[in-house]
Amino acid sequence: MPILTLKAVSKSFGALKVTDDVSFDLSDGEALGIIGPNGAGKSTLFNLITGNFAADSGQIFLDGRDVTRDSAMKRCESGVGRSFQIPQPFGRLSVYENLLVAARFGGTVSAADAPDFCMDILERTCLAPQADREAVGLPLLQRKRLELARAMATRPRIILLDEIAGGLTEPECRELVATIGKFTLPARRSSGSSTYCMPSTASSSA
Amino acid sequence: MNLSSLATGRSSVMILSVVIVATLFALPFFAPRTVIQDLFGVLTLLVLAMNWNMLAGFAGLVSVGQQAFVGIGAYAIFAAVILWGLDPLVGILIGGLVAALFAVPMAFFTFRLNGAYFAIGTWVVADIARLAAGQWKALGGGTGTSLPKGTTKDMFGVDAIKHLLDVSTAAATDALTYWIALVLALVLFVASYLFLRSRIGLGLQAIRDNANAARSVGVDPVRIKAAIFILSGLGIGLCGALMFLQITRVTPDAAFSVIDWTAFVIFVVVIGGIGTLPGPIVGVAVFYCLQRLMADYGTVYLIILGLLGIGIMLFARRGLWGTFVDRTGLDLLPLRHMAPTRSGPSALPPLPATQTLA
Repeated sequence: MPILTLKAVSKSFGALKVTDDVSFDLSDGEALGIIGPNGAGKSTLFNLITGNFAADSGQIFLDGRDVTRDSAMKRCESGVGRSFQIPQPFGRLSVYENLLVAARFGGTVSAADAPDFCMDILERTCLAPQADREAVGLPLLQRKRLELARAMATRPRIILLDEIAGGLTEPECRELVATIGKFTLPARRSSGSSTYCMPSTASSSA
Repeated sequence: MNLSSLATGRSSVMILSVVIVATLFALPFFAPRTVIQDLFGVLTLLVLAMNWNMLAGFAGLVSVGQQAFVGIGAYAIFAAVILWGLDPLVGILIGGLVAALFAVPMAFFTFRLNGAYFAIGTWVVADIARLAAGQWKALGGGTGTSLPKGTTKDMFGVDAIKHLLDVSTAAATDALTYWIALVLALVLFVASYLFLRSRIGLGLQAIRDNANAARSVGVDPVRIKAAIFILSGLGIGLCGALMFLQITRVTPDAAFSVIDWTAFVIFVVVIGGIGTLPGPIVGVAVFYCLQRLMADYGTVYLIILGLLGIGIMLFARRGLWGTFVDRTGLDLLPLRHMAPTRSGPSALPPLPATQTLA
């Protein structure tokens, strides 16, 4: 059974139809790239899947369950993790606390397990040395890493990476893709995680 | 600043706080009655300020309608004592509960509004409550009413305190209300700290920084903000009931005064440090000192206070305490969750082989 199914999902902003009758299946362990020029509606599609926007018509299924009317919080708990195109860290919280929020809420990790759980992700994303720094002053690559790390801390079954490599230099981009690779399938296949990636520019689609 | 001197700093502050709190508790045994009355005013202002700081400083709910809860707490205790003949101490609890109950529909309506609209909306609700209280004929309508003579005399505990301190009944009443205010302030302070350090408190700080991102990691902003709003209704309701028990007279204009119960409180919090836990304490201390120093010059202290408030809003936006912490790095009550230091191998499974994405 596919982990994520979109059936004829449409969304308009006024007269502008941004998402027009989109349907696809995503199966467990699959990585899917969505490519399009600026304004094609990639981020809108993401926001529809995460529940930040409500679809005008069509249905979205997660593990065969209709989640079209679920809130963003509920979908996060059901296993939809996301990173934002423009990094949106919790600025006055530390890097570690950014993950702690995600783990304790969306990831429903217990208070006892959370510190180790978060540190493990921080080590994998090479953010461990910055753990106690305020998130607001991080350079772009680190902020992108934090977006990924925070999304992973919600223990997603599907992760949506919105232009995760946008704005990075070529070497930075390769570094980030290697980090993403560390999270993909083998480690989490047992728990049924799948990765779903959205590079939009040629340089970022590795 | 290195860790060991920080630790010494913290423990000395800890000892100092314990000494101060113990002194405050012992004060009615030796201090003159006017001091106790003054401190009662300071403590109740502190309770209001801590509540408003939780709302505006931590939950981003800039309410200008907190006087609604003071007024409702005040009217509830007067109703409990005059109409139902209950002990005033029970009346205080009823005041808190009724105010918390009122916070539920108030949140339901005002949470549809954001920012400045929310501020205006809460003010409107508070004024509706004031006008409604003026219609309560059994409690004197628009002119208000007084507690019957002797109410506070017969209050639970007053006799015991009278013998313990060997003072007049009036002084014993003052001591009792002072102790209740002190306990209320302490409980509120400790509860705020524990709350902010908890899971919900962490979620609250995430919402403050970025509500949209908070939603996408599973934090429900509305639920957490509603919880804070209702809890602050409880705290302010208790405080309002206590203040008017001490005043022994209530009118709609006094009980629902936006100047006394919200405007002063906002100044206190802004001066002390909005969004910091010790900020309200610093703010109340400054407010009280200004009031004392300028007592001979009429309301000049209000002008000074206003200028101070404007200066701080322009040049030190985190208030006196926030600026102090930023300058010295000496945060005595850190809310931060520190990352665990790990030396041994990872407890979780080793990293898998890297896989390339499509």
